Amino acid sequence: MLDTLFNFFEQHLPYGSTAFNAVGGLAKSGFFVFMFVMPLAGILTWMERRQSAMMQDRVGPNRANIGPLRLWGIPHFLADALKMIFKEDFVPPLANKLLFGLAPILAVAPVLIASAIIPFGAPLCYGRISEVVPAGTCAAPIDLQAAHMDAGLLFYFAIASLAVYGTLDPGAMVNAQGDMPWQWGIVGIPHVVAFVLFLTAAIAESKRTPFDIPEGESEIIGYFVEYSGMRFGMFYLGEFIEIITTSALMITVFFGGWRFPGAESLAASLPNGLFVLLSIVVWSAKIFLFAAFQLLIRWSLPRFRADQLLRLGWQRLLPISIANVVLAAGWLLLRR
Amino acid sequence: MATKVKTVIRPAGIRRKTYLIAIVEGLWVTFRHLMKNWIGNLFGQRAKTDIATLSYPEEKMAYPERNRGLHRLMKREDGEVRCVACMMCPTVCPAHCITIVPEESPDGRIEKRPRIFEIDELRCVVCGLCVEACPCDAIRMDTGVHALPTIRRSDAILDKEALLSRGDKSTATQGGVGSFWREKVKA
Repeated sequence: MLDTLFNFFEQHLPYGSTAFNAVGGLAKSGFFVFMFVMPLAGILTWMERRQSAMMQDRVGPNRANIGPLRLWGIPHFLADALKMIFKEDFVPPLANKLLFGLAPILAVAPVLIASAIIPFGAPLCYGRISEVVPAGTCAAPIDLQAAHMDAGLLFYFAIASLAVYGTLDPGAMVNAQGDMPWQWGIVGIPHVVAFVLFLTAAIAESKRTPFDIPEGESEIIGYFVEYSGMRFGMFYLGEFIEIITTSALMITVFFGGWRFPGAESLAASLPNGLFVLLSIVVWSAKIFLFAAFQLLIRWSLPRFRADQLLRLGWQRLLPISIANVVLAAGWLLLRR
Repeated sequence: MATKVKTVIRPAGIRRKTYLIAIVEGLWVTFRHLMKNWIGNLFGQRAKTDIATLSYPEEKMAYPERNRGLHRLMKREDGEVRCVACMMCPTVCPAHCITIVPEESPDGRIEKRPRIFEIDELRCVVCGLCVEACPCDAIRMDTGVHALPTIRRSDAILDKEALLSRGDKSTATQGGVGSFWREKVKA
């Protein structure tokens, strides 16, 4: 049955045609957003509460269930979503309706778009999914990455020190890294510095503790006060999507993307489709660990004051990252 | 009034100034707690973890011995109510929540017994004075049960049967041991 499906695809969508690219792009971004980012972001809302509870010697939400299906309380995120959908959608009478409605969309959409550049698995071999495909023999590989962009990673200055890859296309970056952990992008002095800088910037960007100055839920009355129902939910979800996206970027750049020890020999012995699935699972597991680490930081550190954050950003991180670029250039020169 | 100037001393040294080591130490503390609690909770060994939470309806904390809970009426050896309808408890009750209608007891040695004994748990202030006032250990508040939530107010009024259903035989000797109790206790 699978083969008839593939035949159908090959007949009507020949590799490299415009229709193939369009359908492939849609399918890839659809899979990425709806099968991965959205569910994981939802689960992260539960995980954050559960993990923070465990860190603070509490139990956390474990009651929500679908019939007998309790699953340690994971259905809480479904219950939360239901609650937010049915809550009153209040719009302040003097608010600008257009901007008010636009803000939650702007909180979610850019992060989702940014995630399009992330390669989420090993290349799929079109039409030969059920076969074992030896390395370099695939005529029609599909990169599991919604968009190829050379400018895709121009997010932070810290990244500039990644010139060691000679590219800014994340897909090529993963390919430049090896299977073993010591062949990943984190190894090397400028790399470690870049990683710490990137991690700090990523947490600051997702505006969560210790950098939650705009929100400051318990002290200053942040902008969330005006939002209710699913509009608030979109801000909330946007934060978690940002965690996933930044985690995915860090994995892509510093921790070998979907690569894992033994991947090369497995690729030569497993059917292509199965191997790609495995690579997606490994990639997801890495993202999960990184997301858990970001949650750990969020629930351990106290908030920075505004002036402390400015000092950290402009007087510490920026000079260090510029120095790191110079260091990386020197590193490249020495390795040549 | 002169303004007081307080000089804040900033930590010196690269180790203290960057806070990086302190951050790692802090993360290690929270990570340790997370791992201990998570693994213990996953394998059903919550007692060995640091988690202090009780899963309330399933797990309940034992009340202290002297907790004042729902009332109950105690019984004699023959199962009859100990109460002699002396009206001490409705008299002392500051909330006027006890209603007793006495009747003559068929037992010749006992003068009265309650025909109706009702306690309105919604009015009760749980002061325990009725227990203190009772001369024959007939009313107690040692059930360790809360006043139950009810749908109708009338359901919160407990009658004699409901109060007796939690009742038990009193450990006190029927009729007491008399005025020579010191000698009797010694012997």
